Amino acid sequence: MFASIYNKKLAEAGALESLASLFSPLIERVAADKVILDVAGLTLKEEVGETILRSAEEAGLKINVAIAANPDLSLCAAMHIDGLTVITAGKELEFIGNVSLDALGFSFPAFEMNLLLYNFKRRLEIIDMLKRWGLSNFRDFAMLPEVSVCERFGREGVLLQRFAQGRLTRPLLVSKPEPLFEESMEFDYPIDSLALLSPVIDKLIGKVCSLVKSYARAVQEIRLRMKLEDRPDYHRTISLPFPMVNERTLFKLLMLNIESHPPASAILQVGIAVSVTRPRSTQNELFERAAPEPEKLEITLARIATLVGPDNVGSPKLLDTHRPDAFCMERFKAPSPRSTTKKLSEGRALAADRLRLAIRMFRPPVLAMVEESSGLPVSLSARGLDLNGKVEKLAGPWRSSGDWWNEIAWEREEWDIALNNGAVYRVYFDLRRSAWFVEGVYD
Amino acid sequence: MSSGAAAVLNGSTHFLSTKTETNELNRLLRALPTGAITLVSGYASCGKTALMLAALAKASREAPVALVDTNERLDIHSAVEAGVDLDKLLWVRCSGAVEHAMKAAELLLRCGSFGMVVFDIADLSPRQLGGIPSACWMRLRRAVEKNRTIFLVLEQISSTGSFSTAVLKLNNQGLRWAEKNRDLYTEPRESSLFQGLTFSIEHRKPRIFSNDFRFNAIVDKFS
Repeated sequence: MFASIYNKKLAEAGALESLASLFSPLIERVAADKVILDVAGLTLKEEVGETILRSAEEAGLKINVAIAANPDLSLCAAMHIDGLTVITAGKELEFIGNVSLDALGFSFPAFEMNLLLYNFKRRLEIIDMLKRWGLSNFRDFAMLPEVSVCERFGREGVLLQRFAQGRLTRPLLVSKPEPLFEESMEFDYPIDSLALLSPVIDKLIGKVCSLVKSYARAVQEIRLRMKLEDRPDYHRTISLPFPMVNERTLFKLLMLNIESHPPASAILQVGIAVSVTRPRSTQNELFERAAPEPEKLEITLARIATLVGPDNVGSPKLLDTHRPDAFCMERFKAPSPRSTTKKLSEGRALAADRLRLAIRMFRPPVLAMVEESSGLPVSLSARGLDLNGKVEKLAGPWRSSGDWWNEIAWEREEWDIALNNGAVYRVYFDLRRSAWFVEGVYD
Repeated sequence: MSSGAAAVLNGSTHFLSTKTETNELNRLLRALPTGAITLVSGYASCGKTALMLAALAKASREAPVALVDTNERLDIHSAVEAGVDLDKLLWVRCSGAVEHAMKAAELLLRCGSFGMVVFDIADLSPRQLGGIPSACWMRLRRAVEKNRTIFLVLEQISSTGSFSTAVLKLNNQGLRWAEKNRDLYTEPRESSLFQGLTFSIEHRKPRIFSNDFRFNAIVDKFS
């Protein structure tokens, strides 16, 4: 036996599930306002229904309750009959017989689970045809001979008729809440060495990954929490670029992260929690170049970040500004095989085929001494670059300015200067600081 | 010697035709060996960075590429103008730390996920270069031998010694300005234009081409 609860008014998310969980652990959440629960183990069905109604009233919920032999019949009754309805076997049509045929156009779980009834358009065609025959409710449809319905509408028609008769049954899709994917361990004595911490992390990650795998999920984010001796708690969060569940990879990523940010004091307790999502599924094509192995790449990036700092590893992105050398770093993501073979736009393809002179930037720009004659630079020296030479040829100045509305305002005169050492430098005069700088060398 | 290069040397024109140059460039880039160290050397303003970005642009069409930039010299605008796909470029900035740069390059080569890895040590002082032990180059060579990655090392003077399989030496053959023979001191203050430079590429080992290459690299802001 199944009981359906239909909430007539909007309520808090999860309110119906909380109510249903008081009566049965087997609950199917159909929608925010509809749940079905298995009450097979409970005797005195009317009493159960009344108790549900009473509890809902206490919780401030306005609901309908219907109890029937199959889940969709009870749901249909709860949606169309106010208060409590208990449908006994063989008397289904007495309760749902007056329900309009339009209800067959609703999205019942039985329709979603059945391939033949999944087609909403086909269902509407059948309802339309039935109405043109002069039928208006479930009772009219249920009374038609099954063979004739099958001849006219095929298998879909028969299934719909069984639904109208309250005979279309299915198993309950029990919604099982996912557990918290976390593990922790408390130490008998404080540990202050990563070598001692490593096997503990390994064990905890292994346990968490086993749990994640058992729910057919993959890890999207790892949160590490450590209780430290005489210090505030230590927290690290690693957001993964794609869901993964390989425990060796996760362990290495976590250890690399801890190595680059070691805890400030001895560790008393360590806990790992993960956020999960659906696992990644990819289907490569036969003739495509194999994509980089993402787990291996992620570990490599983490190792390099440990060496040079996380801000110094990534993909550069130009900022939408005229400010010189304005860029930011973004996380490097392994491109998918499809994106690696995408065609370049015509302009980019042309750009890639021609040789463009590049500039090698000096970051930050190097302070320079420039000797001028008639307003033109004639010699250039920069101690930071071990540079000293006479100007052989020059071009400029090009004046530019920007960001005058905030504190990073810039204003400069830019020159291309060829020195007698054969190299061409980009030099500028900073009008705000009244100083010369070497920005880069053309190469 | 190519017909375009001959034209330059004969003085009949300053430019190679775009088509000829593109073909020559593609021929050169296609010949870069995989699984080996290729040294690209040359002094300042010899076109080595332009060549490196062209190689990165070509490689980034098919696979992710990486640049280990010891002194953070990459200009992002230049990379975009050269056609490098920034989404597929991993840029490792090492703030002058040579040891970290060597280690990062080795990790990237061992990862094997990249079509091309460029190791830019062109702005290291001779003292810093001399401080790199041979064992490091040996490790890099072993790392790259195991995969199909093109590994370019950018230097001013060769320090990889016998560890490089191919050596390309770049030489500046002249700068291009919009005005010729302009006297800096007598002419009024007017803007001439720096348009680019001509450089030649000698391939010292192995001699896979019968001729040396000669290219014009143009400055993006005037092209």
